[in-house]
Amino acid sequence: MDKRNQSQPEQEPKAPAKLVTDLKDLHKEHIFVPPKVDQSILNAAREQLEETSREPAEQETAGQPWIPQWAPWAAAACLMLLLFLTLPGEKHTSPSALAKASVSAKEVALKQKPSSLATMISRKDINKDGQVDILDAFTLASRIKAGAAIEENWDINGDGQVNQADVEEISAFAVKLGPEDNS
Amino acid sequence: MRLLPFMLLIGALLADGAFAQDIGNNKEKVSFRAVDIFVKSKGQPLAAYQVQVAFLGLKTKISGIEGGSHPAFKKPPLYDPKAMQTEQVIIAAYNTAPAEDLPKGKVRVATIHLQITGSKAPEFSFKLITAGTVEGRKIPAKVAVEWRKKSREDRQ
Repeated sequence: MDKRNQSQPEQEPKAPAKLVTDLKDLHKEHIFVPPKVDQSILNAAREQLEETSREPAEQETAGQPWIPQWAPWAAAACLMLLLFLTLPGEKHTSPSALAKASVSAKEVALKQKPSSLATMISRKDINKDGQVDILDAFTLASRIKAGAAIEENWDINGDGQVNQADVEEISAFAVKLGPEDNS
Repeated sequence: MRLLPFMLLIGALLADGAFAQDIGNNKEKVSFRAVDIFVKSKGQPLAAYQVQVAFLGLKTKISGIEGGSHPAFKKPPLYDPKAMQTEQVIIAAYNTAPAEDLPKGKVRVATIHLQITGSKAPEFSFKLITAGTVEGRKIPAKVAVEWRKKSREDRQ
């Protein structure tokens, strides 16, 4: 028989008695855990367990077709539009109707004072070519400079005399941008 | 009252879009260029001219107007101040000097400075409204508009 596998109690190490006693008392020591801490740990553990149990359901939801993030906004917009169109309210004026009204107002204004506007333009048309442009200003400026005959109705600004100020008035009118040019 | 929720929604959507557009616009380059306006009076002394120029595209604004090269039209032409920061203008000038002091042939009468947003140069349209020689007589002149070439300093 092999002697190496036989028990030899006299060769086993022996710990000091004090160490053995201290090690035995270590497990008897009571560690105090406050009830609140204990409860919170338990609650956290319960939540963790509940989430774990819900995961399969969420995975099923994730398998549904993708919905864009703006979909709720679009749905809300459609709903609002539907409400806007269906609910009764005050009458709305379309832009074309407003434009027509504006044009008719201008027509009325022009009909009220056709002679004054035409007179003003005809007075500025110094060279009588049917349009007011820089040549009218040039013609008047040349006449003033040369001391040639000047008509009374060339007093464009109405200050009682025909001078450079009237030339400038005609020039400014010639280069003026109309309402349609300012858009 | 029933319009309130609808307006609020539209406002929110527009604000969102404007913010996105603002971010996009910030990337656009702003540059300054000039166009020279020439009048060809075909050998007759040019005493007066009136030209209308329009730059196509909403991203071009007129930022300044200066006079021409000939002493008779050295001063800036007349124009409507409202044309500033818009895309079109009517310019005009006259000179009552004697015929020998007036330019003949092709002459630069004005230069228009532009502020252009974006990298694409705008197209332009132009029209000679009238041109006259001494005594205020109309002449069959022509107008030409050319981009001013950038100088070497500008390119650097």
